[in-house]
Amino acid sequence: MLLITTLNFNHINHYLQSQSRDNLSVLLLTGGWLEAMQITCQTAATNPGNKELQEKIGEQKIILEQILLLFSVYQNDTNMVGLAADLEQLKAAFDKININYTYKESTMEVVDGVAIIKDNSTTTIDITPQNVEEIKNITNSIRTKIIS
Amino acid sequence: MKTTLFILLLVSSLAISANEQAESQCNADNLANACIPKLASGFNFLKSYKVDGLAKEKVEYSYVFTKGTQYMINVCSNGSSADGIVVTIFDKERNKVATSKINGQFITAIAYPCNATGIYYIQYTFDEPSAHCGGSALGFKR
Repeated sequence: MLLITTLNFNHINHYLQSQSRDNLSVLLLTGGWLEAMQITCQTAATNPGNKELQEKIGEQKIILEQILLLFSVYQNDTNMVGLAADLEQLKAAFDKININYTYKESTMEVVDGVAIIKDNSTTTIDITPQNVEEIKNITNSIRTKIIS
Repeated sequence: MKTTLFILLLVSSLAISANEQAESQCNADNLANACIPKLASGFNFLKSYKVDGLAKEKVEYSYVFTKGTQYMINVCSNGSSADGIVVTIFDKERNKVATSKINGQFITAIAYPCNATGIYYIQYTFDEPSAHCGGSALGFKR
């Protein structure tokens, strides 16, 4: 299923790029991400003790930064500017979350012809239920705006 | 003398033409697709990459890896070996976290259990001799 979905998206992306409509690929991607965010935030809200779910939401800070990078290419596209502004508002909420990265050299060994890596680096994500609530509210408002 | 020069010119032109033809024959798309079913059992396909290094020294892509997920990256060439293609993973600060060249040996697959969420750079380089042409697939399992 994932294979079919990924290959389909790649085909759509290549087609849209060839038609100089690559902005639609970005919108497609952003729409999917917002939908997934909305579901995850709703689930996290009903399970406030689930730290893993909260961290999963916090990790999306990195994804949002990449999405905004894509949007920066379309600063002159009036159809994109409005959504970019909404995403900036979401970014402000994500900016309150800290992702701390510590690098430690990894170790490797070869087992049955595959290099198995032991990753010794770590990340910690500082996120509170209040952060999740704020992200959930902004995500909902962006989603409502898109679908209405 | 003129004849010799003409033959030399003709041979050179043919050689250049043949070389250009060989260079345009890297079907990285096919090799990338061929790599997908070679992901180890249990890994779900995420993305395939073209490794067309005919005109450049390295090929690089980026991907967000997440903590608690195990990733596998494999390398495919026209033969059964890695054909001198080395895949190296760097973190966002460009620290090396994994490589497919271990003790001078070219490994065709890397299994990377990620412990730190972030952007990673997947870089393909070529050790001589190599056709500088291949494909690669990225998969994950939790």
